[in-house]
Amino acid sequence: MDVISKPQKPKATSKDQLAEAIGHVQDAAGQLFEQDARVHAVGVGIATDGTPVYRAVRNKKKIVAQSATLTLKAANAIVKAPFPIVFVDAQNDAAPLYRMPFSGAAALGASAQPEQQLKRPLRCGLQIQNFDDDSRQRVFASGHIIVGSIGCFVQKDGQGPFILSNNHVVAGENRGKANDRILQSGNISFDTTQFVAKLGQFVKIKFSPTDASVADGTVVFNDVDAGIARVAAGIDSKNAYLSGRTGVKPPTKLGVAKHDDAVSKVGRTTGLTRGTVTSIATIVGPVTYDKKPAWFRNSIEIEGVSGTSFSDHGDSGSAIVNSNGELVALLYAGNGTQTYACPIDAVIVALGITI
Amino acid sequence: MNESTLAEAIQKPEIHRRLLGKYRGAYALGVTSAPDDEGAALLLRIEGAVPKEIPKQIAVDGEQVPVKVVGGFKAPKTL
Repeated sequence: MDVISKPQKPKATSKDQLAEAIGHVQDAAGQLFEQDARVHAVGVGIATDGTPVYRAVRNKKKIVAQSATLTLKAANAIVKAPFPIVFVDAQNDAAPLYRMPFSGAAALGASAQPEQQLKRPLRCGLQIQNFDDDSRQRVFASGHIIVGSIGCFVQKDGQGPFILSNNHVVAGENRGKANDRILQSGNISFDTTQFVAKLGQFVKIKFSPTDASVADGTVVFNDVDAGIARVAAGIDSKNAYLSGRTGVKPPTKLGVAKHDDAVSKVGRTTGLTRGTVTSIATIVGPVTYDKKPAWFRNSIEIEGVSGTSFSDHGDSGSAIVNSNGELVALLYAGNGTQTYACPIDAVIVALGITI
Repeated sequence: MNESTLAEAIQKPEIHRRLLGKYRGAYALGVTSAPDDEGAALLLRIEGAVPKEIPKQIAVDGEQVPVKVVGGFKAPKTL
């Protein structure tokens, strides 16, 4: 880790400095992401002298064009940020699933988003966990759990309800086993009061070789990242958001996304956000899964309104609804600026479900 | 050109070869609205700076389609 301090000494108090740093972190992150393709996270940290710094986490092993990298000196010269930038070197990109500490300041329930709390009846957007997959993956040993969001509730073959979310949320990227237990909101030990559903079905993610390309015809496309879990007996659910989520219509009917559409979603990390469909029928990849790349086609691309972030880690599985309350897509990936979602008509067909 | 024709066209490897040339990296190619609001266009996002070799329009079924090319793209991750 290298640090270059800017020459001027900040005059504000530490509290004011921190507020200023947080206020500019999005701008700094946007510039760093654009200038260095290896950067995959930017946040505010504190240097040993007590002043804020921007911590830019970059994958040093990622092979990118020289023109898409920055030296620390260049980063501090080019990026217009009120405090110094610090590069933190990582050996990989960010974890593909949302792995979060179970206790401490960053733990479950530490956020203001009500979707992270235990809530009954079940509602769209709530945080869920495949407890058995986490157990098999031994993520509890490091004090973490892996979570995602409920999209909505669906029927299959006249039965249900089922929770609709992503494969990588309810089935751990193809690892899921029949009847894996789904908890809401999630725990590091099995908690009967949190048990809400059992894994039903998922569409397998097809991975492509790391050197695959669409141009060469070597990419294996996915249309959806989707799975369902049958809601357990005695657990009430409804296609509605928590009562505090006003100004967004719940996903009770289906629609088709068009570019320039205004859309919304409710997820466990960023809560209610609004965005615009910037492209449809999108081919995108490689999307980073658990150590393997995957390519998608017919995806919907969304950007948050006025430069805001539409989604973040943990929002996977969220339902994307348009201004008419029509469910148009299921959120599965993003990069901090663009969010990608699979069209709901393909999800409906792939899983044989109805809403 | 209408959206469905373009959506079908971008499934073909040939379109990607013609657009991307020697570019090797993450990208997103989708259908968006044309800059002049007349019909559909392609939106191509690529990592880093935009190479000058990438065309700003491409012929699809004999019709020239605008291509909006945007650099600074980051490979998406599951969320």
